[in-house]
Amino acid sequence: METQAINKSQLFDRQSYEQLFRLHYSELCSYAVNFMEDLDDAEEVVQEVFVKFWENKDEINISSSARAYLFRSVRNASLNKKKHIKIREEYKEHNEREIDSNFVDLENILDASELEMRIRTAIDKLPTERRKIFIMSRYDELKYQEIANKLNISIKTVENQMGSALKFLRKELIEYITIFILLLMKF
Amino acid sequence: MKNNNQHINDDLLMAYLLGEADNKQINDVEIWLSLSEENSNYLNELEKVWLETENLNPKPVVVDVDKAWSRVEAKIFKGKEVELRTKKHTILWYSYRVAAILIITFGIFGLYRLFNSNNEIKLLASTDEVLVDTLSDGSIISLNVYSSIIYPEVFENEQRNVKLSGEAFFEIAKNTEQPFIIDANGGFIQVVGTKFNVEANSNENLIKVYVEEGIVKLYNILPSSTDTISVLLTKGEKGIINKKSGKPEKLQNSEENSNDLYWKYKVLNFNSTKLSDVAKTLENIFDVKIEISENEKNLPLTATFEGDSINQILEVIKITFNLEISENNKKFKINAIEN
Repeated sequence: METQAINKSQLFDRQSYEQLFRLHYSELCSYAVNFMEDLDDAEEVVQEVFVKFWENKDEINISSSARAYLFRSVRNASLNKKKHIKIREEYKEHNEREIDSNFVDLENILDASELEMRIRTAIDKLPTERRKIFIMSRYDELKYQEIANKLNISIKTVENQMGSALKFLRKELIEYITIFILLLMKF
Repeated sequence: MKNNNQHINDDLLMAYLLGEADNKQINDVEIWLSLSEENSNYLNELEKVWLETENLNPKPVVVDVDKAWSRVEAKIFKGKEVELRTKKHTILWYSYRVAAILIITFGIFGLYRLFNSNNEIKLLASTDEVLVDTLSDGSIISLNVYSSIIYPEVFENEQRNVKLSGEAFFEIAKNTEQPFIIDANGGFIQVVGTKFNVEANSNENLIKVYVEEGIVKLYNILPSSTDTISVLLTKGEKGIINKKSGKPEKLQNSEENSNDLYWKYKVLNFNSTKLSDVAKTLENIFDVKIEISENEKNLPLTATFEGDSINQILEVIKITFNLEISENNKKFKINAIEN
């Protein structure tokens, strides 16, 4: 995924930078949350990485893709921040061991397929409430009633939001999914 | 999506796929599926999309990208001192209490003013003595021990803003054009011209307000809905702001009264107050322990003490009710005289 080296002049005008931000912000936060546990802390780390990236743009020499650079930066920044927050030595050691075992393999992420990127982008396009409900159902594996209780809404609303979410995702993705399956069939 | 049954829609199909549909719904869907290949293809497509989304690792989180971008954008392109977090308390806050209060206060309120005017920011901080000061508008503030308040030399804006940590009694000069607002770090107190007491200790969950005279408004802006919730207190009423929920409340049936202001006036008033309640008040104020035997607990005390020590007060109680009081290292025992 994205193996071209960055053309700096292309990347660092305001418009392109914003696009880069919007494309990767959500998945970088998903990654950072593995280290920081708290979503607010994760968002702060990612935002700081984007600010630093811009501020140091003249000094940075990037040979891999911007996405890879950003993920590595977020990993380093997260580990650094954790060091400052946790003071006790034993906890730090224990924590590092835990990170290694729970770790979301960075190389797998960087190898993400185009389909996966499109899926993330499509999910990001969902309006906030709908996205929240979809994530709770798909990734937190909550039943409709549990979602309704947690968000203080009716089951009908959950049904409706899930229907709309899948309707939208189908429209965005079906092309790529079909192609993917066709390709598989060829071999 | 083409279908022959009006009521088969995506909501129903999803519920069916996820096992959330009831028997009637399942039946309806299955009939619909059997009606045409187009129908069953459509369901297959929905299912394919659902299955494909399973493999996302790390799993997606709910973030507000627009908000995040505007913060990053401001930091990069406008060079403002923008806070990247919306959380009220950072880790630093809990570790370095007093220093943090001053730093954060200056960061939010004082520094901003400092950059924008010649108006000096004043800090009044007490240690082990009560401090009294008069502000430029004539308002008088009595600061209890180990408390601090930050205010501008001159109140220039549409509001008179101060920030309090600890406890203070306010006698606010009346000015209807310029409401007086106290930031108690967890809630706000607004008045026009009144006399009231505010307890805003950083290590406590509640901000407490007692009104001696006038009308006082306690309010907070809920971050989730940006609604403002408020409560009005008048003379003799007590209210709290719960820092955790952010909600202000009036306290009903508050048993305490003007004795809350003992630290300022050194006056205690009891009006047919049960001895057990009297003991509670004395325990709090003088930092002692008082034990009363069962039969004596409900004796009603009516008395006023001004500037008296704990021993003098207990002496009065002893004589009034003909009791015996013994002491052991700040622990007092009250009981009837043995015959």
